[in-house]
Amino acid sequence: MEKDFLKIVELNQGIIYKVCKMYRDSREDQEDLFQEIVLQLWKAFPKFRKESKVSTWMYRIALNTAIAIYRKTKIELEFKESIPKEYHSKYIETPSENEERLFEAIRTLNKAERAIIALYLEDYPYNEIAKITGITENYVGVKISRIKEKLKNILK
Amino acid sequence: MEFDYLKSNWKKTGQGKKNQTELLMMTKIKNHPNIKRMRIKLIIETILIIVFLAVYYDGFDGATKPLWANLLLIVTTTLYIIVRFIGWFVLRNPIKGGNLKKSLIGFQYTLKRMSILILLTSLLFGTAIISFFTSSIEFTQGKYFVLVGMIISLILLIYLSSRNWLKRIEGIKKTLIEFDDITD
Repeated sequence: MEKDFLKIVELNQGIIYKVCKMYRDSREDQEDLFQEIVLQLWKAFPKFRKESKVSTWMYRIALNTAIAIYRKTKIELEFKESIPKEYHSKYIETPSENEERLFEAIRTLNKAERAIIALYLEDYPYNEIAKITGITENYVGVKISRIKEKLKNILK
Repeated sequence: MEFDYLKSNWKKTGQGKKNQTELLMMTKIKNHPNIKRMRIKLIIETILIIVFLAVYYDGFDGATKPLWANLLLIVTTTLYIIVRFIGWFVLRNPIKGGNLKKSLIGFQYTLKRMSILILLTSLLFGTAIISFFTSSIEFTQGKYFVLVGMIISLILLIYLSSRNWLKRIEGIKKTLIEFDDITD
């Protein structure tokens, strides 16, 4: 079971990465959330019966964890100079400018909107988004239009 | 079309950064500094309280105190420990099954129940401690002031704790409203 789990998560870890980038600002918080999501996936794996796609299952758990796990407000420290490369955590990779812009824009949305837009950008159809989130298909359409408008205004 | 561009950026994000060894480490609580820290705190707290229960009778003259004070202390201390352990296991499992909304509703309900239990057992435990140590005291005015101070401190601690819980519950509630809010 462990081998299957690791293979699945390794292949689809981009999902976890994207959810962490959406729901946490700092790299430290993103790494914490990444670990937490992997732990929750591991706990949920024995019950995963493959009735849904692996990616759908992972999105559900990852989004749920990101929203439900409580995070105490930390004091933000601002580093003016860049940290020498050899001191970077091995998890840190410098994202592209476009990627940063995209996630900064997504982080201005509320938590529910982030979940919906993530699934939309992942090309899930409206009925699947409705099933995963628990809102109606019609309302998914309404929300996505509004979110797209918001993002267009931010990214102009 | 701008959104197609966003979609293609989205899909290129976060490809294959961690290997299976790193992922395997993340499945063990001992490799999660925050969770490990909370678990150690819970274990230390529990050990200290059990040691207190074991030595209080001789150490703090339990024989000279009324029976009700001794019983109250033992019962509330035991409840305090049990509820904290239950709370730890329950709160470490926020995924309730079903869709996102259903899971969050379930977790919100769990948070509400646990917060009431934890706050109540904390209040009872604090009350039992104060009652035990003051049960065979001959009160002077000065001692009454100390007693009032202890009671106020206990109430303040419970109040601050309840605010933390409320914050957490309100956070989940806010997200549930965001899922349902049509007017925005």
